[in-house]
This record gives sequence, C-alpha cells and structure tokens, in this order.
Amino acid sequence: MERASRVQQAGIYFGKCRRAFVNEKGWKNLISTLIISILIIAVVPESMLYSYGATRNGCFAMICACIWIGVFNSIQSICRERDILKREHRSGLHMSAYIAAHMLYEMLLSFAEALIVTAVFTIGTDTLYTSDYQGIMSAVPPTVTGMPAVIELMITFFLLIYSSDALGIMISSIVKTPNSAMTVMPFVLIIELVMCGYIFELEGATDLISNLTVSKWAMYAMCTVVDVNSMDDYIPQFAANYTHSAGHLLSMWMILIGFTLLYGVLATVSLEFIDRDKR
Amino acid sequence: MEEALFVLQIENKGNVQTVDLTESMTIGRNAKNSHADIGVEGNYISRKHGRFDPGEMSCCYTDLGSLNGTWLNGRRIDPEVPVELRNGDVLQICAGAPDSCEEYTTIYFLVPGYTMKAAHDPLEIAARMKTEEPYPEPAADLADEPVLDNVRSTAVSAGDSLCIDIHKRSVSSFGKKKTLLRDISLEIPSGSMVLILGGSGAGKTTFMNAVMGYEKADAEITYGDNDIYEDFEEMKYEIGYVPQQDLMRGSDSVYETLRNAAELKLPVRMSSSKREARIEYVLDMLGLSRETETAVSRLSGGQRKRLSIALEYVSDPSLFFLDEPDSGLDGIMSRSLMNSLRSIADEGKIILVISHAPDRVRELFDGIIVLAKSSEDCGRLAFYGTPEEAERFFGVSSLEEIVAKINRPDEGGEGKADYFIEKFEKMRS
Repeated sequence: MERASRVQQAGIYFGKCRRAFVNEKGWKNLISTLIISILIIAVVPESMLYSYGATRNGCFAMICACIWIGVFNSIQSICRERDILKREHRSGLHMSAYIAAHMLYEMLLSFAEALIVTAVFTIGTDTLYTSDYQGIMSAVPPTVTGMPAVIELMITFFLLIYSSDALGIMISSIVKTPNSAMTVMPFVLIIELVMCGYIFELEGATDLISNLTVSKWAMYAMCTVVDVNSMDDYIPQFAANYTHSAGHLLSMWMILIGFTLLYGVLATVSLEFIDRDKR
Repeated sequence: MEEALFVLQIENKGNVQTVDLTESMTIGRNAKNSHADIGVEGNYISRKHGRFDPGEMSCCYTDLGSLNGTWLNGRRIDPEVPVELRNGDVLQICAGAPDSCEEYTTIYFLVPGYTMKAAHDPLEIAARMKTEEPYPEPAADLADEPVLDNVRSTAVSAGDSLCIDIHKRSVSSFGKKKTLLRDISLEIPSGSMVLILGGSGAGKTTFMNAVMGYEKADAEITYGDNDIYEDFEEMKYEIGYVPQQDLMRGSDSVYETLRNAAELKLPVRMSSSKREARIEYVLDMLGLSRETETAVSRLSGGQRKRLSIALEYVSDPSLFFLDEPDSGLDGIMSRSLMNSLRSIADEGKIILVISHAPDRVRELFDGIIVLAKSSEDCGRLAFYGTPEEAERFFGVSSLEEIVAKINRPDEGGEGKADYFIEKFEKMRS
C-alpha cells in the first residue's frame, strides 16, 4: 500500500521544524543575529567602503559573523534527535525528505537573518558614519547586475548564512551527539576563517584547500559588491578576485549555492547510514 | 486528498484488504496482463470481473460478463446489469455457488465510518440469504466504529504465525567474529503476547532486532507467507517497535506527535476522516484522550510509554516488539500498560515484550521465551512455552527466579544456563 511520498514526508517534517521554532523559541536566533550584527558594525572603521584595507577588514568581520550565525543555527538540530530519527527511519522515513524539510526551514531562517544583518549594516553605515564618509546606500555605485548594492549585499549575506547553515546541517548529520557537534564546531570555524585567504596569503596545498571554504568565495563576493578595486589603495595582485562585474558576482553566488546543495546531499548520505549506529 | 465515498473490505485467501472507492474502479484477477484497478488472487476470478461506480449518494456494481459471475448477498446477479449497493452488502466471487465452493473472495461494501461488528462467515451469509428475496437487507451486521478497528489494512491474514529460525547471529569486531545468538527456533501463533526473559547480555534485544529484520541474522523469519528479511520494505509497516527509551520530540503535543506518525505510516489513500478516527481510537485505547494538547515533555513516565506505543499502534501493525516498556513504571502503571498490550494482542496481533518484572502481570502472557548466555558466551534458547510450563521446567515459583537460575554466579545467579539449554533441546527432540 502506498505510504507518504518524499514530498509529503518533507511537508510533515517542515511542520515539525516550524513548531520547534515556536515551541523552542527559535526566534532567539534572530535576536542573537541582531546583537552580533550591531557589535560588528560598532567596531568596523568609518573608512570602510572608502579605504581598501578597512573595507576588506570590515567584509572579513561580516563574513565571520555570518558563518557563525549560519553554523550555529543548525549545528545541533539533527544530532540532538538522532535516536528519534533512527526510530522514524525504521518506520519508513526517507532521509532525503527529512533533510529537505530542514533545508527549507533553514532557508527561511537564513533569509530572515540576512535581512537583519543587511538592515543593521545599511542603517549602521548610513547613520553612524560622520560627514566625511557615507554608508552603503550612497557610497557604492550599482554594479552591472543592475540591482542596488544593498540588495546584492543582502543576497551575498543570505547565501553565506545559508551555506554555513547547510554546513551545520551536514556536521549535525555526521556527528552522533550535540557534545561532539560543539567540539567539531570551533575546528570548522577556524578552518573557514584561516583558509579564507584573507588573514594569510595561501599557496600550494593550503590554497587548494581554501577552495573548499565558503568564506573564501563569500569574501570575493562581498568585496566585489563594494567594489574594493575602485578604492585608491587597492592591491593589484588581488584585483582579479574582486572584479566588479555581474559575471564574477554571479559565479561567486553560484559557488555558494553549489556548496549548500553539496552539504545537503552529504547530510542525506550520512543519515542513510544511521541504522549502523551502535546500540 | 480525495475523500473516500465508500469503502470495500476484500477478504481473499484469509487476507484482508481495504480499498477506498473514490472513482470508478474495476476488480479482476491479479495477473500479468490484467489491468484491473483492484487485483485479487484466484483463477476463478476473471481478468476484468466487475466494476464499481461510486456516485455522491450511491454506488453501483456491474458484473462485466465474468465467467463465474458475482453473488450479491447470496444471489447471483445478472451480467452487465448495474445493481445499487447498500451499506453492509456482501459480494462474493467463486467458481460456483458460494455455499458449495472452497475458495471464494468476499467483498464487504461499507460507508466510511462503518465496520462489521464481527467477522462473518461468507458461507453462512450465502445460506442465510438463499431463501430470501433478491437483494434483501444488507448481510453484514454493522457498527458505527472506525473501519480500521477491526480490519487489518494489509495483505497479512489474521491467523498467521510468526516462525523464527535463527541459525546464527554474529558480529565482527577488529577481524574477530563473535556469535551473539545461535539455534533459536520457535513459532508464535497470532493473538499471542509473549515475554522474552533472560539475564543481562543474553541477547534479548539482539534477538528482537534479528526477528524484526532490523539486524539481519543467518535466519529464516516468516510471518504468514511473508519472509520478513526478503519482504522487509513491505513488512516494515507491519512491524511496530517500541524502544526502551521514549524517543519523541518533547516540545510537540501528544496529538501532533501521533498525527505526524499517522501521516507517515498510514496509507496515503486513507481519508483524513478515517485517519482522525484512527488517531482518536488509539488515544482512547491507550488512555491519552485527556492529554492531547499536553506537550510530550510534560507527560508522566507512564503516559510517555503509552504514547510511544501509540506511535506504533496507530498504523495497526501485526507484529509488536517492546523493549522493557515497563521500565521505570510503578506496579499499577505497569499493569495498566500491560493490560493495554493484552488488548492489542487480543485483536489477533503478536506481541513480544522484554521485561525484567514480569511476575506482576504473569497471567497476561501466553508464552515465554527464555534466552540464556551459554558457556560459549552466546545467547541460546533455554525455554519456550507457557508461564506455567516455564515454572515447572525451571522448578521455580515465579518468573523472575528463572533469571536467577540461568545467570552466571558472578551475576548473582546459579549458573545453570548450559544445563537448561541442553534440557530444553532434549525435551524438544
């Protein structure tokens, strides 16, 4: 007899995620996003969006915040109910449906968080800056995508938070307990930040590994949006990474989307082996 | 989802199948070239035997000129002439008259929300109707209870036994092979509630997992005509497993938890009203009706156990496995829980329970499986029989004393596992 399809199962589990948001006060994530964003914008120099160094510093700080927000959203979401999942898998739950439900829910959450980060960044740079500097709304010219820079920035924040969130889902699917997840999390964050290519210049193997981090591509995307190459003190050596063009920005976005999908697939594959967990 | 206008309960070779009629459907032999919407086993059934045409208020059945014809409430109906069906009507298909055939298929026509009060003997219906006018009163006695209460939703017959023949269950660790279970062979009839007894490490949970097909062993496990290992994808919906821990999301309410389980496990074609009826029935049966809005995290230990059982019972499985459902419960709660399990077994299901405190509910069990760790450090069958036979076999006056007999001395036992394993083997041979 026909049972619930994958799509129907995803609907059931999306409902569970939605209820968990209400019952377990998931909105607290939004508040922490707001606080983190305010803290970051409070410390970035006023010359951000004008000075090459300050702008890259500011972008890096925003990227660190977004990765933290994204990974923290989901790092415990699956491993904490691993035993429940094991039971439900026995009863016919498709792991692809389960992960799809989580990915959909986290997409909405990431979008809300990207809105908050963008709003804080926009309001912060536009109102807190002194008369010598202007914020994102007026400082950065529209790119060739035709969208205002603030929208491009929001999409970048969203894709970065969401891909980091998917990374959290993947980790949460692989590890077996929340404790393990919280142990793994700092390592992942360190790799993302060190391998970003901003703090240290990477060469050889480390440069290759850096291609596997979302932080690197998000950094390129964000610096592209704010057009760091147009700033007086830009370093020509890195200019190609921040080419101010629609094609370049879109390819960075596509890479972030690719990582998100890859993490989702790996999470599903990992959970398919849940029955092998020892008692 | 489309609501069922009417329901057909089809009984064939001891199997029961329910079909929701939402649109015109043909019934015919389950054969390769048959394109019937409802396939039924039997050479006496034509490839396209008949057709049901449900409308908003009524439903007609037309025999499509089949070889052996169709009998309605004991009377053969004319081919190609639609007849209007009423709630409780009984259609029969067989190679001759229903009262003279050994093989037949019986189809009960029901309005959603109704079921039969009791199982009907098709021959009795046929005989009863023989003397009456054509198409008299409905043949089945109806009760306005949810249809699934008395009807199994799968192709497993009510009288099937669970046959277990485990040759060996072993695991490898760092290249070293360890046998966990060996030579366990027994048969459990339907409607039985069986206790699995054994000391720590005797392999009770391993045995359960092997029987369920969750951790496959070198074994043949069959339920009726189904091989649980080979037909696992199909059979997993027939198996309910209640783990020792209460594995549910604490923030969901009781109703939400059960509704999601029902959506996941019940057939998608089941109408929402029937699904709701099933949920309410399960809540009521397990004494959770007053807790529907309560969050799972706020339930008492006993209520959580009940909900854990309800999550499996909602899909009406035929085989129920429970790993220490009474752990952490006081005597009254435990008894009440076991009484609920007994009621489920009385519906014709097979229930296997691991318990470390069985004496307080001893009379509820039909059988006892005793597993003991042999001197080879491997789980073996030390006994299978009724509780009374077990007490005689082990020379004890309570079931819990059995564990003391077979446990090793360092576990506080008498260390007679090998003796009883051998004794039971000899007794069987």
